[in-house]
Amino acid sequence: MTQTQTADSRSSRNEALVSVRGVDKQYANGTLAISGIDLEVNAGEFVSLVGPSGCGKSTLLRIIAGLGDATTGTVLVDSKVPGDAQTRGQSSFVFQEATLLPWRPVRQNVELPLELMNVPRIQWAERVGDALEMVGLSSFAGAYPRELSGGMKMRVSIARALVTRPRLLLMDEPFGALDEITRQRLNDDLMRVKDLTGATVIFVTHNVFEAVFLSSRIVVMSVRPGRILEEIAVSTPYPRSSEYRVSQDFTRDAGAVMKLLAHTH
Amino acid sequence: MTEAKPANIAVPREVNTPPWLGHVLPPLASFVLFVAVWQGIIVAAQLKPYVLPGPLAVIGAVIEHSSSLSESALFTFQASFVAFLVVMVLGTVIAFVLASSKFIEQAFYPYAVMLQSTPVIAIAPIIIIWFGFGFTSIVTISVIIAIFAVVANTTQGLISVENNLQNLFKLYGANKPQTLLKLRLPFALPFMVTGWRIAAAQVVIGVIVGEYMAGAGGGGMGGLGLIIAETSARLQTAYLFAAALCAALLGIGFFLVVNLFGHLLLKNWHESAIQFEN
Repeated sequence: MTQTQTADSRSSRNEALVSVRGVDKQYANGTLAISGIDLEVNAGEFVSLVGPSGCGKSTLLRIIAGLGDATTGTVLVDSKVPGDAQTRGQSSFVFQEATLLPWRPVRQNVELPLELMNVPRIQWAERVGDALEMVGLSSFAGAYPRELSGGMKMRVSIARALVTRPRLLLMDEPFGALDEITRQRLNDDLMRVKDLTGATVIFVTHNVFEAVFLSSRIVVMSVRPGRILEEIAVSTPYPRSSEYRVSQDFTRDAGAVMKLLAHTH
Repeated sequence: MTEAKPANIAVPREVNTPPWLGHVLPPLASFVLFVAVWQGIIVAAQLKPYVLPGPLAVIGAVIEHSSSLSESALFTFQASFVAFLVVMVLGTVIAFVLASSKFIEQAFYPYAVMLQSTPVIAIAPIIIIWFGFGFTSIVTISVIIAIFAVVANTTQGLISVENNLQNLFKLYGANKPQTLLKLRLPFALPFMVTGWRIAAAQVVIGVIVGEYMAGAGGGGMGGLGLIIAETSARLQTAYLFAAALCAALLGIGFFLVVNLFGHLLLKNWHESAIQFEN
């Protein structure tokens, strides 16, 4: 099985970091969550999956992360099956909730991936320091999660995802539970993180403005079973500052996405 | 000594009293009231001492039988301590087995519930037939009464680990021991502490019940429960009250120690152990 996949990946040797081919996902209860998904994501892209609730965007993201299997079709990340031990830590996942361990202070929460992957302890301090600095939480290393606001918890969660220095960052509606002001601030920070790390990001959201602000490409999905309706390229170059939110380009692209979403029901 | 206290209670709250006094005064006041009502009822209803001895008679009995009470209390404490250790270890192991698979849980949990709901009075004679009168039977009865709290709470804690936390561990290739030690066990800890607290109170009750039914006489080897059984038969009611008082104090002490231990384990992070300021 591994052999055919290696052969397959060699034959289709292009620059795509993530390649999803003909993926269906049917749950055990018979629900068809997504159907006929083809998606390629190149290194350095920021791709948002946008669609109504229940369109299977999270399901797709989980399959790319290796947290679930596709019923049919193939998914390759860096020419390997997701969840492969060799590529562990090269893709990170940020959940909808911060999913921190409440009994560990911030520093030890961020250390967790290094600990589980048996990264030599000597590297921890530098890596954790870098990750915390990137999300602006260096001075909170000793705080417990209960002492942090919702936005700060999410920052810790992002720092934990960055600590393995991943090439691919998978984010499942990470800012959905935050207020608008905090959300915008975290969006700005995420832009900075992307700029610093050069990571490729696949980002699930149902917030059109967030998607337009962050993405180089927006993938619009239909209601269940989720299919890809259209892909919209957002041409405004990075780095994007918060002024971009009030520019005409922004309004135009957001309008285009909303128009498409209006037809998904 | 007790006369001076009611005057203190009248001190208004605004006066700067040390905070601990605020915790000590209310239960002390209710205690004084309780003793006063107790004495009052005896005087008013002219009750015979063997029906209801007065507070002074009980204190007198404590002093009079102090050596046999302390020997028995020590025995009861030892039995409670052993029973508590057995409950902690055995209860946790059973919970881990139950939580290891849905099938095992469904297959065996009903029997744990059944054991819990069977009155101990029905099980005790069998235990005495097997183990005879004395320490082993007493501890066994206590364990049967108290173990369910640990099993139920620990199992609940182990099976309610958040799904995405498990996904997180899976994502970074955590092996089974890592997931157990770094996720499931700490996640279950607040539940386990709840189980230990309940078990701490029940274990002492269990030992007293065990001693009452299976205590072997002679040299305090039957514990406080046997004193209660014997004194009730002889209508030595003041002595009976004295033994019950010792049992209550022992139970409270046992509970407080376990409570403190649980608090120390959780104090940094769990909401149950944190004092909030609004």
